[in-house]
Amino acid sequence: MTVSCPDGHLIARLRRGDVEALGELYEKYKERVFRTALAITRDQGAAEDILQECFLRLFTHADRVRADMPLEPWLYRVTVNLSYTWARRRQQGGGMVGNLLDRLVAPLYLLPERVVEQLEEQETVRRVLEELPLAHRVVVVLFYLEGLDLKEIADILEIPEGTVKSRLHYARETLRELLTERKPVQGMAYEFT
Amino acid sequence: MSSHEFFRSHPVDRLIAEALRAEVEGARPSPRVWERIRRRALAWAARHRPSPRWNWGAELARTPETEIFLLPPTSLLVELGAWRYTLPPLRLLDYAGLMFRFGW
Repeated sequence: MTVSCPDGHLIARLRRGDVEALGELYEKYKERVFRTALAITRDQGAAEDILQECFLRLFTHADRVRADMPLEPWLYRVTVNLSYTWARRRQQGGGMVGNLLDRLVAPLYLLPERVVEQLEEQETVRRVLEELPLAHRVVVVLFYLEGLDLKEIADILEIPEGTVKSRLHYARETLRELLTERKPVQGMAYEFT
Repeated sequence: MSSHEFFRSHPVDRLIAEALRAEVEGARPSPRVWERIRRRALAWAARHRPSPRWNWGAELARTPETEIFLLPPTSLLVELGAWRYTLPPLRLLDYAGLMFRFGW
């Protein structure tokens, strides 16, 4: 059965070397790719490089992209793989993701009390997310930020659905434990089951 | 409750989603990114444009079969040269073969 795909004709044009078709796909998907790369790498420059490389690969490997299937999973897969490569290089170069976080934190004393609380909560979660292994962080980003379901994530990462579930569970439990250790979030009680 | 719903139902899940959204909120790629992609894609397309010199199949398809047999023959000098310089080595091989066969 042939699945009708809205991007099929654009992919066909890509195969003929049409850069305008690439522009149309870039406009359509740039934010999703960029957002995912940024959430994984937490580095604006790295996210832009990944975005660029992702769309260049789409152009140069257009003959390998299926025109009858949705393009998003392919883009997510390439984005995640490029993010892994970036993280590996970064690790080899010394130190993991980190500096951007400090720049993201606003001077708290300038803000109203509730906003401060909210930012503190988010800051705590961000720090905890940063401590997760990259494979778990990828799953968390695709699930919570991109809103993909377990099967979609499994297809993108080419791993069993059970592995996705266990990574998500591990990430979630680690977060719960670390959040409880560090600072009880306002108005929330964590029960351990 | 499905596992999908389960993973989104707890306040900690809401907190994770909010923190991630806040982290990337308002972040946009620079317009220079597309310029770089476009420039490199155009360069790649120019390098990989199919060259008509190598398209023998298409050239032959355009030539009627009768014309292939009517192609101008190789010049006489070339023919003589080929005969003069390729035949002796072949003969040598032939003699060598005979010697090998009857020499035993």
